[in-house]
Amino acid sequence: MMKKVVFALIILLAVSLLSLYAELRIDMLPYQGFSGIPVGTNYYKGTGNVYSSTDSGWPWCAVMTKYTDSYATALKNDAHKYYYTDKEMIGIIGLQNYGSSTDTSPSSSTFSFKGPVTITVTAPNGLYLESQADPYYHRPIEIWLYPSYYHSSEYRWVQKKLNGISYFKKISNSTPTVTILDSFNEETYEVWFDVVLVLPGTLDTNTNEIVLDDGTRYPLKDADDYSCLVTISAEYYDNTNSKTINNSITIPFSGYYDSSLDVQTIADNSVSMNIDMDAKAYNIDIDSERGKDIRIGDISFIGAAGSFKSTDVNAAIFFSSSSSPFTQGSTFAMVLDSLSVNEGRTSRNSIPFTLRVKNGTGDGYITFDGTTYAESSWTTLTEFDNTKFIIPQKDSGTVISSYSNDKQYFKRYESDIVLQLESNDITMIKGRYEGEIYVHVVTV
Amino acid sequence: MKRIIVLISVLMLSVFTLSATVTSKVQRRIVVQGAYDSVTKVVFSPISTQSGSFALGMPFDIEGRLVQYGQTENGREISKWSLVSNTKFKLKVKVGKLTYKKTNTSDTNSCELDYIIKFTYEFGYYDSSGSAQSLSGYFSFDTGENDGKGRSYYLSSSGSIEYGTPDTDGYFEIDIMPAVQSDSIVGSVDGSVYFMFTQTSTNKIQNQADTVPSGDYEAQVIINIEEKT
Repeated sequence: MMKKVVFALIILLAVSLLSLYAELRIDMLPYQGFSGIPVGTNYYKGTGNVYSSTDSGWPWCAVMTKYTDSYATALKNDAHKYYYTDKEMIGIIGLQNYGSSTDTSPSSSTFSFKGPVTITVTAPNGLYLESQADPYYHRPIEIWLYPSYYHSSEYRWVQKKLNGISYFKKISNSTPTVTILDSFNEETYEVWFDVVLVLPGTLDTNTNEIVLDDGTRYPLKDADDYSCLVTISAEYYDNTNSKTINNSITIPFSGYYDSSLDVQTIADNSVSMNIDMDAKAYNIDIDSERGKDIRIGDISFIGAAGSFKSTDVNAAIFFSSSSSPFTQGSTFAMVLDSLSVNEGRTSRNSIPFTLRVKNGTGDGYITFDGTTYAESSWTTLTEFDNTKFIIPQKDSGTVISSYSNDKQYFKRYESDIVLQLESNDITMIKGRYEGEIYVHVVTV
Repeated sequence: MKRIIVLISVLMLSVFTLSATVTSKVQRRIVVQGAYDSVTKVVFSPISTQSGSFALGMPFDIEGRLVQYGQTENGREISKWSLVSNTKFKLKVKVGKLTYKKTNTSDTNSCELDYIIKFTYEFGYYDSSGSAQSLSGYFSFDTGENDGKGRSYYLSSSGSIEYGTPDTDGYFEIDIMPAVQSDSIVGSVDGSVYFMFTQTSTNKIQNQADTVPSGDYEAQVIINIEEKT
C-alpha cells in the first residue's frame, strides 16, 4: 500500500516539472483599423502588386510605414516600393518563446523554426462586410499575410525571394486556409506576420457597386452597419517540444458606405462592435415564453488605441431604449405594432423585458432594463458603475523581436444576449409586437 | 509671476477635461419581434395616381395604352401589398370582373370587362434551422378564363403551380410557398399588384370599344388570409 502512494507522488512531481520547461506560443495582437472602414474605398489595397518578375534588388518589398529605420526607409524609397500603411494593418502574429508555461510575457523571440505555419481565416457568413439590416448588400474582404523574420543577422520582410518562392499569402473566400513559410528548414529564426486588411475591387460610382477584376459586381447601399466577425487562427508544429501549438483571435470589423462622399475617408478606428441576431429575435412567442430566458443573439467588441501604444481605449458598452446614450429611455417593452401614438401602453398591449449579458470582466452578469444612460460630463471611466455598464477588461500582449517590441493594449468583450419577458399571466391583445433596443459604445 | 504659472496650470487642466468627456462612438439599433397568440395580417396600400410621367396607381383611364394586353410585362402597378404571419396560413383570393358603375337608378348602361390581375411577392422567412431564406414569385388571375394562375421562383429550385377550380364562394386557394415543406415557416411578404386587360375575345375595350359606356368602373378583389389548423 505504502509503495503505491510514493509512486503516485513521483508522477505528480514529474508532471509539474515538465510544465516549467520553456514553451513556444503563438501570440496575436489586434492593432487597429477594425471599424469605420469605408467599404466603397479604393484604399486598403495592401500594396496591390507586391511582386513583379522584372524587379531586382528588392523584388519582395512590403513594409509597414511604422518601420522608420534606415533599412525600412531604403525599402520605401526603392523604385519598386510597395508598402502598407498603419491603418491597413490590423494586427500582428508572432511565434515566441516563453520561459515557462506560467510566464505572461515572452522571454525571447528566437527559436528553432521549421515551416510551415498554417493560418485560417473564417467568418460566419464568409469574408464579406455585409449590412446587418440587409445582408443582400455586402462586399468581399481579404486578409493578406506578410511574413517577416530575422535570420543570420539580417531582417527580412517579404522582400527576399528565397529559392524562387513567395512567402507572402492572400486569404480570401476561395482560399480560407494557407500554409506559410512552408520550405523553411530547421534553423534559428524570429518569425512574425503582419496581418493586413484588403478590400478587393474598385467602386463604380455610377451604380454604387464594387467591381472585382473578374467582373463580379456587389451592390452597396448607404448604411453604417456593414460588419464581419473575422476569426484568425494559426497553428504550428513545435519540433523542439514535439507538440502542436495554436491560437486564434476574433475581431469584429465594421464599416460604412456613403454614396454622397467623393472620398470615402477612414473614420475612427479605435473601437468596433458586431451584433449577430438569432432568428429567435424575430419570432418570440410572447404567451408561452414569458419569464423564460430567450437567447436573441450575441455581441462582440474590440477596442485598441493602435500604433502599438500602451495606451487604453476607455470604453463602456450599454443597452438602452433611447437612441441617445445621454438620455434616459423608458423601460424596454415589446409593444403591439398597431398601437398609435395617442394610445398609452397598458399591460394588455405591451410587455416589459430585460436584457442580460456578461459583465466586463466576464465573471458575472449585468441586467439592462432600458433606462441606463451616461452623463456626458463624466471625465473618467471610474465614473461608470461597472454593475450598470459593461467595462471591457484590459488585455495586452507583446510581440517581441530584435527589431522592435510591439506591445499593445486592447480590450475585448463577447457575450450572448439573453432577453427575458416579464413573468405574468395577463391576457394580452392578439397581434404582432416589436421591441426597440439601442446598443451604445461610448469612450471617455 | 507665481500667479501666472498657476493660471497656466488651470488652463491646461481645463483643456484636458474638455478632451476627455464621454463620446458616443458606435451605436446599433436592433428590433426584436414577437407575437401574442397566432397572428396573420394582410395589408393593401393602393397607389394614388401619379401626375406627370409615372404610369402608376389608381384611378386610371381604361383606354390607356399601358393597361392593354401585351404593352408591358405585368401591366400597371396599382397597389402594394404585404403580409405577416407567425403561423402557417392559407391565402384565398376572389376576383370579380371590372364592372360599369351606374350613375343613378335610371342608368340603363351596363358592362363587364375582363382583366388580368397579378400579385408579385418577395417572401422572407426563417427555415427550421434558423437560417434566413427568401423566395420570390407571383400569382395572377384572368377573369376571362375564370382561373387562377401562379408561378413561384425559389432560391433552391424552381417550378410552377396550377390552381384548381374556385370553391363555392368563388375563392381560389393560393399557396405561395409550395416548395417549403417545413411546419415552422413564418415570415413576411412584400409585393405589388398589377392590372392589365386580357387578350381574350371578351376584352371589349379592345375589340368592341363602342359598346363600352363612358363612366366609372370598379372591380372587387377580396383576399382572405386564414390560419391553417
